[in-house]
Amino acid sequence: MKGLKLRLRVLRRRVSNFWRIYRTSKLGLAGLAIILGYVALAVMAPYITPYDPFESVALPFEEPSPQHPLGTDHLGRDLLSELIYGTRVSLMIGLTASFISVMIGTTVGLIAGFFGGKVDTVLMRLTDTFIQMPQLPLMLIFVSILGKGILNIVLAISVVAWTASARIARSLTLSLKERPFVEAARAVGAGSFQILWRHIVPNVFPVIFAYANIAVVDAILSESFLSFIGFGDPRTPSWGMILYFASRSGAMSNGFWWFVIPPGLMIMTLALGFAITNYSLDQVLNPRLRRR
Amino acid sequence: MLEVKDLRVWFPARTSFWQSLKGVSRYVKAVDGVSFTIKRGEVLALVGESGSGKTTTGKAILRLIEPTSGEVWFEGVNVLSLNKKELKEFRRKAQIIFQDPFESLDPRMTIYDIVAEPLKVNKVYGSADEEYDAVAKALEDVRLVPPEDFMTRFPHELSGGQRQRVAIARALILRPKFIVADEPVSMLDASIRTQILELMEDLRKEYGLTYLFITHDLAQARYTSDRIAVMYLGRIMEIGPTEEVVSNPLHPYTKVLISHVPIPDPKLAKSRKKIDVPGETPSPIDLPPGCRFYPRCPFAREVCKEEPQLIEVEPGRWVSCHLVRS
Amino acid sequence: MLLKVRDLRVYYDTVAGVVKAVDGVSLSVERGEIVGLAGESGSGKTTMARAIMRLLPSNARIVSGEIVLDGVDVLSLSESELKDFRWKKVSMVFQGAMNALNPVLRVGEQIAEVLVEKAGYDKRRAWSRVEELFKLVGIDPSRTRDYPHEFSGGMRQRAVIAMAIALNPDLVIADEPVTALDVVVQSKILDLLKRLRDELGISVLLITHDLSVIAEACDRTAIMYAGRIVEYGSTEEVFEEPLHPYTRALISAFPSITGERRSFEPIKGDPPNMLNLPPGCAFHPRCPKAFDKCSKEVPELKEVKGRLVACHLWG
Repeated sequence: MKGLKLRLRVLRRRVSNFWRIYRTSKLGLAGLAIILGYVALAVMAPYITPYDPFESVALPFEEPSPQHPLGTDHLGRDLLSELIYGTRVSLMIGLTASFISVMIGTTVGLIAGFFGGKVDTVLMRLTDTFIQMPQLPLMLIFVSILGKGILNIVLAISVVAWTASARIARSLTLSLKERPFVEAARAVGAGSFQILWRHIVPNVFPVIFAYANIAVVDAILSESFLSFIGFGDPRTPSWGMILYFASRSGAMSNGFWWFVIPPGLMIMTLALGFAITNYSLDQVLNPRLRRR
Repeated sequence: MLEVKDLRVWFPARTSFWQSLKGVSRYVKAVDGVSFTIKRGEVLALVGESGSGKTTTGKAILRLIEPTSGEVWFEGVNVLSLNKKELKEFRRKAQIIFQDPFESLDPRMTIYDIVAEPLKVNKVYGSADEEYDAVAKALEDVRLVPPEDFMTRFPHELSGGQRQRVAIARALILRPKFIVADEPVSMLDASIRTQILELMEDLRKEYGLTYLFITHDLAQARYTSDRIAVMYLGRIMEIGPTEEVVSNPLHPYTKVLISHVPIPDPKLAKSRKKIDVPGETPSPIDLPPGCRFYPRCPFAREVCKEEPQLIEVEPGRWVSCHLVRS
Repeated sequence: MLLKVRDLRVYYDTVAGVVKAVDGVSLSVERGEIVGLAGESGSGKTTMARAIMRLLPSNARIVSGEIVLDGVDVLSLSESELKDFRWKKVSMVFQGAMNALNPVLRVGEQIAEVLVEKAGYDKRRAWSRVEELFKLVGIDPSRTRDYPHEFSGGMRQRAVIAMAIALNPDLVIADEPVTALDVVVQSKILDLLKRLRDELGISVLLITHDLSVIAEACDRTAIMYAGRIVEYGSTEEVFEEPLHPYTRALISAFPSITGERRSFEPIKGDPPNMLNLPPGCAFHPRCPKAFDKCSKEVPELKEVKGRLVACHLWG
C-alpha cells in the first residue's frame, strides 16, 4: 500500500516537473497545439466532415464555394472531407511507423552498445548496410514485394528508418554504461540485464522519445511521397493520395489550386508541429541544452 | 577480516603502431603487488596521490575491476575465485561508497528507487511494505528525516551532502560488514565534509562496520583511521598505526609527503621544513625496476635499484625501503 | 592601496529567480600581498573575481558598487580601454586553466601570442620574453617549444602562471590554482606564488575553498559566505582567534597533520539556497550562537580587534 501511494506521488511529480519546464517553451506549446489539433480532427472526422469523402457529391473540379469550401476533386468528391479523413491516415501511419522503427532501432542500439564486442560489430555492420542503401528505392522495393496497403507502407517505412535511432541509442548506451551510477548498481549486485533495464533504458528513453518526433515527420513525408508517386492505397484518402490524384488529373497545369495547396499545407503543418515539439522536448529532457 | 595478498591490476597500455608490430606490449601497472590486512571493526586509510592505484585497489577488492593476479581473502574465502552467484552473495557483505555523489546516483531515479535498488536486485523482501520500511529505516540511518520527504525526490533536487547520504544509505541497506569508501567527501564543501565523516563514524559504531577509507588527504586520514597505508605508483610504501605514521614517518616518500601537506595554521605552516624532491609522480607505465620512489628520493643509494620488500621494521610498522631496517 | 572594492553587488538573473551572488562586498588589496578569498561553493568568490576582471556572464548585473584598481575605475572602462586593462593591470589564472591549454600549440607559442597580440611584441622579442618567464616560474627554458601534453600537471600550472604575469600586471587573480594538484606540486605552486610576490612585488588574490591553502600562502584572508564577506583580517589573526562563528567552524572543519588531533565541530545544516536566502545574517540557521537579532538584521562589516567582522556578537 505504502509503496503504491509512493509510486503515484512520484508519477504526479514527474508529470508536473515535466510540464513546468515544458510550459516555458512557447515553441513547444505551439507544436503541441498543432499536434493536438490534428488529433482532434482525426478523432472527430465522422462528425465534422460535411460529406462522405468516398462519395461523388458534385461535379468534378468545382471551385471552392459555400457548399464545398475547398472545392471538389476529379471525381466530384468533397475535398474538405477528404482532407479531414486524410488526417487519420497520415497520423496513424506517422505514429505507428515511427513507433515500430524507433523500437527496432533502440533495441538494436541498446544491445550493440551494452554488450559490445562481436554483438556490436555484427549489429552495427547491419545498420551501416541499411544506412548506405538509398532509402527511397529501398522503400519502393519493399512496397512492391509486400503489395500496396497501409500496413505494408508502415512496414516499408519502418524497415528503412530504424537505423538512425539505432545509432543514437548505441552511442548513448556506450557513454551511459561507463557512468559511475552503473558501476554503483553493479556493486550492489545488479546483473547485466538489470542494469540495462533499470538504468540504461530509462536514461536512453527521453532522448529517443524526442527523436521519435523526427521519425514521425519522416514517416509522414515518406507516406505522402509513396502515395504521391502511386505506391499508396487508392482506397484510403491520405494527403499524399490526394496529391497523386491531383497530379494524375492535371490539376496543376489547369490551375486547380484547391486540389494541390491544401493537402500540401496539411502535410507541412503537421510535420512542423512534430518537428518543433521535438526541438522543445530536446530542451526539456536533455538538461545540458537547457538555458540557465 | 580482509587479507589482500600480492594484488596486481595491470591494464594494457596504448602502444604505438611500430611497437605493436614488434610485439611489444606495455602495461599500466596501476596496482603492482599490494598486500595488507584489515581487522574487524578497523578503519584502514589507503592514502596516495593521483595515479597511486588506491582507487583501483579498492575496486579490485570488490571485483568491480578484475585483478590481474593476487588473492583477496574475506571471511575465509578468496574473493577472486568466486563465481557469479557467490560474487553476488559477497557483495551483500562488502559495499562501496563512491567519490562523486553527483555521478553515482542515477539522475532519472527517485531517492526511494536508488536506496531500494540493492533490495530489489537481491530479492531481499517479498512484500512492497517490507521494502518500504527498510528504505525508510535506511534513510533515517543517514539522518535524512523524515524519510517520506526524500523518497519521491530526484538526486538533482538534493544538495551534495544529502546525495552522499543517499549513497551511504544505498551501501548500507544490505547490512554489509565491510565498506570501501572511495574519497567519500572530496567533492563536498568543507562544512559538509565533517558531517559526512561523523555520520560514517557513527554508523561504523552502530553496525560494527569495517572501512577501507581511500583518500588523497593525509590530514583527513589522520582524523578518520586507525591505521594508514601509503601508496605510491601501485605499491605500498608504508603501513602503520595512524598517529605513528603521521608523527614519525619512516619511508622517505611518506616523509616528503607529510612535509608538504598544507597545514591550516599559518604559524605552523611558516615554521615547518619542507623536504625538496625533484619532479612529479610519473605515470605508472614502463616503470624502471627497483624502488618506485628511487628516481626522486632524496636519500637514494645504489641498493635502491633493487625492489625493496614490505617488511615489519617495528611492531606493527611495515616499510618498503632498503634504508629503513630494524 | 592597489585594489579597492566598495559595496559591490552582482546579481544573476536566472529562470528560477535572482541570485545575489555578491551582495555588498568591500575588499582591499595592498601592493605586494597575497590576499586569500575563501568560501564554499556558491559563496560568490568566483563572481568577485570575474567582476574585477569585467568578465561576467551575460545574465549578470552589477547592481551597485565600485571597483578601483591603481586609481582606475574599473566599472566605467569602455571595451577598448578594457583591452589595455586586462593582462597589463590585472590578469587571471582561471580554475582548470592548466587543462585548457590548446593541445595543438606549443606552450611557449601560446604565451608569445599573448605578448604579440596584447602588447605588440615582435616575434623574436616575444620568444625571448617567454624564455625569461619560464625561468621565472621555474620551468627549464629549453622546453618552451614543448606541447602541453609533454608537460606534467605542475609544469602546466606554472606555464599558466607565466602567461598571467607575462605583461607585468599589478594584480593576479588565481581561482583555485592548486585544486586537483598533488600535495607536493601544490606546495611548490604556492611557494612559486609567494616568490613572485617577493621578487616582482605583484599582488595576488587567491581564491580557494581550502583553508589550509590560505594558511600556507596568504598574508590576509577574507572569508565569504552567501555573497558577503563575514571576516577579513591578517591570516595569522583570523586563524589564531576567528571572531565570526562561521570562520571558526570552517577552520575546525579542516583536519591538520600536525598538533593535537582535536575533534571536529561539525556545522549543522546545508549551505543556503542562493535563490532564497534566510533573512538577517545568512548564517544564522546554522550558527550555534545565533540570537534574536541575527534572524532580523543583516550584520554590517565592522572593525573589531583590528580586523573586519560581520556578526552581531561583536555588536
